[in-house]
Amino acid sequence: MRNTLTSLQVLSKSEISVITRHGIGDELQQAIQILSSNEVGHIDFFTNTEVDISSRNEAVVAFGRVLVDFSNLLSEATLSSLSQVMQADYEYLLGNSLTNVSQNFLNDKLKEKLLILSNQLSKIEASLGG
Amino acid sequence: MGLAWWIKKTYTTPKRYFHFFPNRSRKHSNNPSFAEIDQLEQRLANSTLNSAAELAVLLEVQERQKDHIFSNMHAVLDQCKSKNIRVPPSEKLLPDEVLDLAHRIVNIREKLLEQKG
Repeated sequence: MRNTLTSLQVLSKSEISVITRHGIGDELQQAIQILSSNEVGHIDFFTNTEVDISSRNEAVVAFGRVLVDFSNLLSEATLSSLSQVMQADYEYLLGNSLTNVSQNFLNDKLKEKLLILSNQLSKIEASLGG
Repeated sequence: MGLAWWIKKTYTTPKRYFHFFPNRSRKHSNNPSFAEIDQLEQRLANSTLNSAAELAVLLEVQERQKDHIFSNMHAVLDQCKSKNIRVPPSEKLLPDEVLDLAHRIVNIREKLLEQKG
């Protein structure tokens, strides 16, 4: 069965020949390789949850750090989701089962970072009066 | 004085601010150095003055860093496209928790810019 979210231009694999299917499969593998080679192992995390945020200066400094951390997270989540979508498309094209394809767009590490950023945003919001 | 005096474009959307695919910023931004950011943060930490101009400079530098991150992301996504393969829009690729946080960040930015020092 095909995923509802797809990176394929064709509507159904039945529209294309087996040779074309394999060609597109190769293109998908290359794209997955590009995505995985752009995964950054360690990204610096700048948000400091220890600091008080009671002035506008402190709020802007804290906001800037959250902004950069969140941008890295959003970029990472986008590339990781696309990789999973492409892997599912690849399996679909080849007629394989999708049961082994991860559908977890946010891994535990990203979830943990997201929670830290959300808590820090709450502190900034509180300092700005809700 | 509010930061909006220095950063004119106060209203934006998460889609535009975070360069959601297929949106792309036309300006290519260079990545500011950590030293530059650190220096600005230190200056603010040691300053008793609530200088909107300095805060605006720090925010502008952090936003340049954000733009640089998304410029790199778009470059990777462009390499993945072909006549057979398309990249779904960011909004479909991203989980709701991430989209919610993007909205909150844009709202906070607006408040920060409007707030008088």
